[in-house]
Amino acid sequence: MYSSSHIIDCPSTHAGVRQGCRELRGYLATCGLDDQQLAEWELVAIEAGNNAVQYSERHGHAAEPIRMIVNTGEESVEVAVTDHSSNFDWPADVALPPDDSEHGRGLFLISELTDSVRYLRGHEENFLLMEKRRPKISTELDVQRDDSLEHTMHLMTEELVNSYETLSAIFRFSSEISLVDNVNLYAEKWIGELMKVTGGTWYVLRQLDAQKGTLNLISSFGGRSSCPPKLPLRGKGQEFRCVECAAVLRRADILFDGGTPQQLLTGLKRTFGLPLSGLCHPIYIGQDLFGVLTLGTHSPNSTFTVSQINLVHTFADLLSVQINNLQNYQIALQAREVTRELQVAAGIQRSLLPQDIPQPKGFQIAAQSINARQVGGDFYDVIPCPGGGVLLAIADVMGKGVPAAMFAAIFRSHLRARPDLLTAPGKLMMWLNRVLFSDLDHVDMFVTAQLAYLDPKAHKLVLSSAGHCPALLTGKDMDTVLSLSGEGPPLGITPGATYEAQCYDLPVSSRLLMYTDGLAEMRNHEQKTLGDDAVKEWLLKSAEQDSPASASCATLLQLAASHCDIHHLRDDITYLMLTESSNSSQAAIINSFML
Amino acid sequence: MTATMPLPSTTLVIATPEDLSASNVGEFRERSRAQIENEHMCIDIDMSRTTFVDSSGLGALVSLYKIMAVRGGSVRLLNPIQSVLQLIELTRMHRIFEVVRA
Repeated sequence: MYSSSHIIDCPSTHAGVRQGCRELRGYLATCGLDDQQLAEWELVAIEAGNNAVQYSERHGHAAEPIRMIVNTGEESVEVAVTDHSSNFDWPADVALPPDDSEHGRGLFLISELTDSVRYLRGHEENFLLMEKRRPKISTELDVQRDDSLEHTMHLMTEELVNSYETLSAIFRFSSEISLVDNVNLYAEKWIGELMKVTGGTWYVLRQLDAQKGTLNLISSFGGRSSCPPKLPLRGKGQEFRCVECAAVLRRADILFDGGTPQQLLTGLKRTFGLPLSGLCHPIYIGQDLFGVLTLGTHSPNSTFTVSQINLVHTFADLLSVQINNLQNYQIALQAREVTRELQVAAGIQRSLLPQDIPQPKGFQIAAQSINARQVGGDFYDVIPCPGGGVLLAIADVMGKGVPAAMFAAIFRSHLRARPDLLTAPGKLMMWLNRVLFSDLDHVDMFVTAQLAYLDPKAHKLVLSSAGHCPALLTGKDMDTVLSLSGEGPPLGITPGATYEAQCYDLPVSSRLLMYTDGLAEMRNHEQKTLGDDAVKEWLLKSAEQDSPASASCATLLQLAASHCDIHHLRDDITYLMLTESSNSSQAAIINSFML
Repeated sequence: MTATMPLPSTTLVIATPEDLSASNVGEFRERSRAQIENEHMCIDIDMSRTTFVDSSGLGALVSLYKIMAVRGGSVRLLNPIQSVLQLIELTRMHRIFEVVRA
């Protein structure tokens, strides 16, 4: 059966056994074994030899050499290792120890790498006999070299083909991203390919919701029931009950199989049944956790190879980037849609302001309104009244943006609904509060407003205010500015509130400014407000210069712009300017709408 | 297929010898442990020059894994040759070590 034999005696030390195994490998190489078989026999022999050293030391036989007898034949190789222990026996079942055990793998390796193992106990010494069949030995070394080269080329080609197919799949999926509007289907397709390559039969892909601390289901396959849509990350003991949470919390892959504590697989068991084995891989985009991919089979002990694990990593990492990009793309599309709708809304709001402000005889009126956002809660109107007068109205809805703009539009329509009250600002204000109260109260909003009826013939102004900042009045020969305020809460605060109207005689060459609080409260880079005093000072100066309303609006805008960047306002600013001048040229209306 | 990543400063790199077996594993274990500092959260074991590992060698690697596991860290095995990689897979050591091949 065996055509040749070789004996190696080595000292009963680990170093001695190591040297003996090198000699064993060298001998087997001359017998024509390939590199793979040589590596395996070298490992088997050293495990057997180390075992012999260990048990000989224990029982006082350390001085006796360890003998390795190598028998080779055409069909098999046998290695017998002697030991002189009295207390070792080959176990009935040779299994791997726990993963974190530092010992106990030697006998497993001997068992796995040979075809048969027998342990024969003798009187003075024992024999561990290990045998393994060998491929057909050729005496032609050139043929061996060619076979080896061909085998290597085949492996390299296979690896290249696999790499090519994988890269090809990656590029194909990447190019499809722009055609996809369903993340779930995209993930299913992508991971489906991965499952083919790895032999997986089920998977779960989850994405982290950082705000809620949950792992939310994106896609799954192969379950007999549906996966839970959300997994809480922070429950007590969650790390020990849920393998997906454990992988995320430990920031490391978890390979699981039939030997894994069943408690950890509770959730997966329910969905996919038993047995289960697989890989749970937390996915990161940079330093940020994206989610977790769990991929597996319905077998108790199939584990992925290192190459397959690396493939899962690559696919999962790329897929997460694609999904993230797709989601960002969808958010960007929605934002673009919202921006477009806001632009339309801004256009509608602009159209609700008076396009041509009525100019009563001997007076000029101009206005300016700048929203902090595309649409805002400030509003003004100038409504002609019977007898040549006008009602000037200014309002400020609490808040900014779309909600405030909607109420500003509602205010406008109600304001113009009572032409019979235009000359009675107090009564009109009461009516506005009554009709708007329930709507404002329902959404916890309010509106400050000011109504001023100009009677040019009587040269009087009747003003009513609902919690609004005072209007400013001055005249040509005045060196002070009067603050005109009224009693009464903002609209929407008190149902049935009453609003008094005050009547003022207009000074010569009078000049009236009605404005919203955004003007005086605008802050510069040092967080200092413009302030009412600065506005009053400006008004006095404009009275000195007797500039018409339109020019005054422009200089007030310059004052505002010199204080802070009016393209980045925190609140809307609006003002209405009324001037009385001997120059009765048509006033220009300045309606500037900026973002 | 595996991308290389820049080395964080809390990573210790240890090279295994050409031969990691019972005859020299004690010395490797001592030398490695002496290099571990408090701030190290990852050990990269460079196996590119190692041509032979036995079960004692694997045990030494596991001992390093246990040291890092206590502090929430990790151990990676870099560039094992094919025969060593087969040993790692056969003994399922790739369940606790990340194996990186450049």
